Amino acid sequence: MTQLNLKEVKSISYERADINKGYSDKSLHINLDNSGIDIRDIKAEVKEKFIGGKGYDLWMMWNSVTSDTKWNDPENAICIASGPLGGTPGYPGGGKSIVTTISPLTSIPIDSNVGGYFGPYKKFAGFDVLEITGKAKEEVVILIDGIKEEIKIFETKDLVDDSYQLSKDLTDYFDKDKPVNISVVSTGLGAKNSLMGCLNFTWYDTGRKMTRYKQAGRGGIGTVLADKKVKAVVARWNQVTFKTNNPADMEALKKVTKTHAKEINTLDSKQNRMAKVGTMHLVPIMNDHDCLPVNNFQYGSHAEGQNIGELYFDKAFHKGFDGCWKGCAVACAHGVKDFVPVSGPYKGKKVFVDGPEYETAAGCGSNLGIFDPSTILEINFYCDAYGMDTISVGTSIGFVMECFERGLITKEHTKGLELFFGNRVAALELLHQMAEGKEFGAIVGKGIRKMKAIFAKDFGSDAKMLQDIGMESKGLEFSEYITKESLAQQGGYGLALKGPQHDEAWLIFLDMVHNFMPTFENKAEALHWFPMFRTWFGLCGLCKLPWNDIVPEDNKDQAEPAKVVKHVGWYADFFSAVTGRKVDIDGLIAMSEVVYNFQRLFNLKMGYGTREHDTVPYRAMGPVTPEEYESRQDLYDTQLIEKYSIDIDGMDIEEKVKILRKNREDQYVKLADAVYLRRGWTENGIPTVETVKRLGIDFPDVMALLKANGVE
Amino acid sequence: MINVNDKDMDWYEDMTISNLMEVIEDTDYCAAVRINDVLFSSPNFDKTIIPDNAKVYLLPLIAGG
Repeated sequence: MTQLNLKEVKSISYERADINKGYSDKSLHINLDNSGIDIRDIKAEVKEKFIGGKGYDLWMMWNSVTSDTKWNDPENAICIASGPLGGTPGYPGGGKSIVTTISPLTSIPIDSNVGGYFGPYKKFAGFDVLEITGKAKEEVVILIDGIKEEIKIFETKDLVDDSYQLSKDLTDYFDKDKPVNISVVSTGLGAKNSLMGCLNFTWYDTGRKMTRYKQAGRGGIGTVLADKKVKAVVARWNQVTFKTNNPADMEALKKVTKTHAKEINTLDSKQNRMAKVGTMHLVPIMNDHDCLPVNNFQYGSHAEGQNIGELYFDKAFHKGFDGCWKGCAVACAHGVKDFVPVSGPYKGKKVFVDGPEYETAAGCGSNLGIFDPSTILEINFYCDAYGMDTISVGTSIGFVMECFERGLITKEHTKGLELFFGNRVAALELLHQMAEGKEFGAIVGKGIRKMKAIFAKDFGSDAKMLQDIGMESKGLEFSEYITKESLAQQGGYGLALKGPQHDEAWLIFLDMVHNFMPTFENKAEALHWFPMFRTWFGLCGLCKLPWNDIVPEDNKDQAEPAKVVKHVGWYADFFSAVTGRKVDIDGLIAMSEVVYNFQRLFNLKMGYGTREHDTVPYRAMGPVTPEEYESRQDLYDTQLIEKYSIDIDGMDIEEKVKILRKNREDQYVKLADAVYLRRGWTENGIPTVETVKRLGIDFPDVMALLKANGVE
Repeated sequence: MINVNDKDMDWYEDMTISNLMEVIEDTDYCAAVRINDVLFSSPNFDKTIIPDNAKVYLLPLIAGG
């Protein structure tokens, strides 16, 4: 057994609730102010309305925080839930956890959908949702042991700050004989010293005999965990079978699981090959379609873009089963064995890198002008070990590189770092500084929104330029797609509840490549239904990839191919089989609409959630600089002439940039108008009284909130 | 002869991906194809020549990431 100094400060025994139709109907509340451990029943009406997963998380948080709560206040909660379908072995993507908290980057709820075994293990240990509030005096480890029916809190003073090692140590400590029984949630040094800390969720890879990781990356949830002085949360559980969720209809569950898994097994190898290359197929496709972020989202492709995609990683990924859930047929959580970093604390040592995925390759590669897979792997590895979000890290470093190249900041500000695009050594050094909270890295770790204010106020930089090129919305850094030519995706980012993360509405192909939504109304409809489908996966504890990243061969014959209705029908069957609650496709959407609007109201409660917060920087809409305009001059010139009826004869580039900007900004406003109308919101982006009543979330405090915001 | 989505099809010299698309129905969602395991995206369909005996899969891309 690994020798760790863990001092038990609180322990309770409990009687584990039996799982009934996917639910334990219990919640676990841990208050670190007093080491309180409280188990509560989940009321039937909460279950009916909020379903599970993100719905449960948000409901718990709503009742814990006030409109004045800041991310680092004790009452801020970190909630983790799976969902009624989570923990179904063999169902593709059937083991996700959804995490929420008030984000240090956005000051509103952030949600993150993550693999690994924690969510299902916690549920099978007896708890649909875990809520952590308060702040510990000393660093603690929380253990939820579903086998022994015990919950313990340990104080610790000497555990490593490195999430990579810590997860291994704790897995070994809590079940050396059967490490597959353990899942660890932890973060690292970077979460302590930046606002973009992530959580690593583990599972034990029995083939390779090692601990593996997936990340709840966005919005700084790891920073909140570190602020609460929680070193790690550990769930322990043993056998998982179809029976563990105690489904309402076992035969129906077996049938739909087999059907969906067979489809993935048959078609993935003919389509995106995610079981071989994860999401790295997207790198060359995005590069070819001018959507791969290059040099802080200035450009959408690069001659070397192919170098950091599936061409390389097909060979580099270590062969073996890479499902982040038991028996998942998508099995896309690949990694690279025996990688040797050239910098930092692991310099010269062989490590296993979990990743990269597309977002990391784009954000920490092309967006930094880096087309060397080794550097991407090294940034990926250290972000995980430090507990930092690769998307926010990549987008933030891209921003400061452009600021440096444009002279908005200088070597004096960067403490000597030459932050040119493509400078791999400087990028790595900056990452280590961010993790340690030192030098210029201490500023970059605060995220782009705060950097813009610091650069303008303290460094005298051009505030307007900073605003135009700083790729954040609501305080969250953009994920890694160029949206200039896709108005719908601009809305997919700017009108997303938590900030610009593609998981809510990914519409680039449907809008820009396939041109299936030519009108504002078409785009607004897509920006209604796509988030509803995505929300549903977060309610139930599922991954979205098996929905529409592997497409049925007869999908093209369906009335609405974009919705991949055949798979949605299977999800309805899946839900009915586990929960016994008969639903159809419309029923799934209705579940999501409740929680989606509730989250928007939560934003409003926190002082946001209105139109003024749904904006995006102009770089997301169009060319900020003459060079960007020139990179797509034919397209932009044609658009000015044909779409906006502008006579461009004799016009210089700067004038064209200005006119195009006015028109594109107008388009975005019209899109927001159409989306708000479709979603049943006011012109200011607030759910109407009629909408909240229709959805049954017209609670007294919700109605008071609406009234306080002039909605009656 | 080439094999497209597991069905044999006639092949001719200098046949491009765009040529192939013209004779296949319902290619609306196809933004990329794999030819012998190598990926080609739609901006390159006109200039990419399919070799004889190629194994071709059309990728119905709707979403990603």
